[in-house]
Amino acid sequence: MSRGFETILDGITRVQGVRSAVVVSAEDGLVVAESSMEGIDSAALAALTASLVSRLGRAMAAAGQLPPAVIHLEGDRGHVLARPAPADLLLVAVAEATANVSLLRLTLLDAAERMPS
Amino acid sequence: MTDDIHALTAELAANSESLVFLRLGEALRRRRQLDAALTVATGGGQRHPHLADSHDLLARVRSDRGEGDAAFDAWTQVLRLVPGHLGALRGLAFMAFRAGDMDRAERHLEAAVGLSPTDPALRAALQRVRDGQRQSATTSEALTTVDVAGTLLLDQKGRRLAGLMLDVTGSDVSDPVAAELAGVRREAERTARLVGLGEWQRLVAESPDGYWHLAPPTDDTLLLVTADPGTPPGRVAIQADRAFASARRWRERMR
Repeated sequence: MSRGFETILDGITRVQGVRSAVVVSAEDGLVVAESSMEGIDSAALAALTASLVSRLGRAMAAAGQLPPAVIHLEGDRGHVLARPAPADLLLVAVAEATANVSLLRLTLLDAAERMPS
Repeated sequence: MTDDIHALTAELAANSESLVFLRLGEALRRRRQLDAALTVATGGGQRHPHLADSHDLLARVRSDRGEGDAAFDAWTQVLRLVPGHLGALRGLAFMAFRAGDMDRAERHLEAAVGLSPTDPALRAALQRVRDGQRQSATTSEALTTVDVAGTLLLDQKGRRLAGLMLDVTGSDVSDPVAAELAGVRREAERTARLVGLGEWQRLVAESPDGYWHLAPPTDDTLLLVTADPGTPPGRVAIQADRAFASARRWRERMR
């Protein structure tokens, strides 16, 4: 993993309650870099999140709107947040239900700005 | 498109009195270069204050920027200059719809259809607003809440059950959006299950155009609530929860 991605992913996983942070290729849904604290299937997470963001983008385009800048999927046991980044990448984080998602959102926004292109 | 903008910019630079600013401002707006579009529209409006189309352009740009009050003022100015201006009626109808004022939206759309009776998009928008009003009256709880730009309830196959969604031009985009959202729901379910999130509760998307808040009121429906970009996120969540509860009760009564 490149030093640039490593630093960025470390910053995301330092947010309390984050279980996994992954850099994903938005086009094909493949893992580019990851930092997972426990057993999460990063490959499946990457593929599904890329597909989710893409489908949501198509729905928004159907309404004449720009694609999503941040998405937040909330389940009863946790959260997935995704933020498109330069070079057609996605920053994805998985967090526990009790995590501070507002802080995580801001961390992702900041991290995307600092992504190596 | 970029070439068009370069050419139009050059043409305007060569003759600042030219009406080409109308095409340039609209091209910039469509490319979402809203700061530049606002500069062009404002400059054009100052040079041509009695030209209704210059205020119409300014209103569309203001509306896209989420500046509803300024857009309303600009479209009102258009109607002072040219009563029955189609673009202004369409724009004001969209704004009224977005504010949940269906009576006003219907009045503006009726006036617009009266001026352009063969326009299929206008006729469809008017019909949908009327259908929405009838539906609200019979279900006792309107799905649309104040300040919410669009509310759409659909079934598992992406078919619209209730609600209405218009784009910024006032065209009805409910059905294409609903069709795409069926796939979004499946993907949200799969992602939540695989990542161990349990049952998915909601999916929120932010874009420069606003918020999309998706949630499944029942196992066979999906609710979309959209809100303007300036709306505080917590307020969007409260409005969405309210619409979610209404949709669930409505669906239960339909069973």
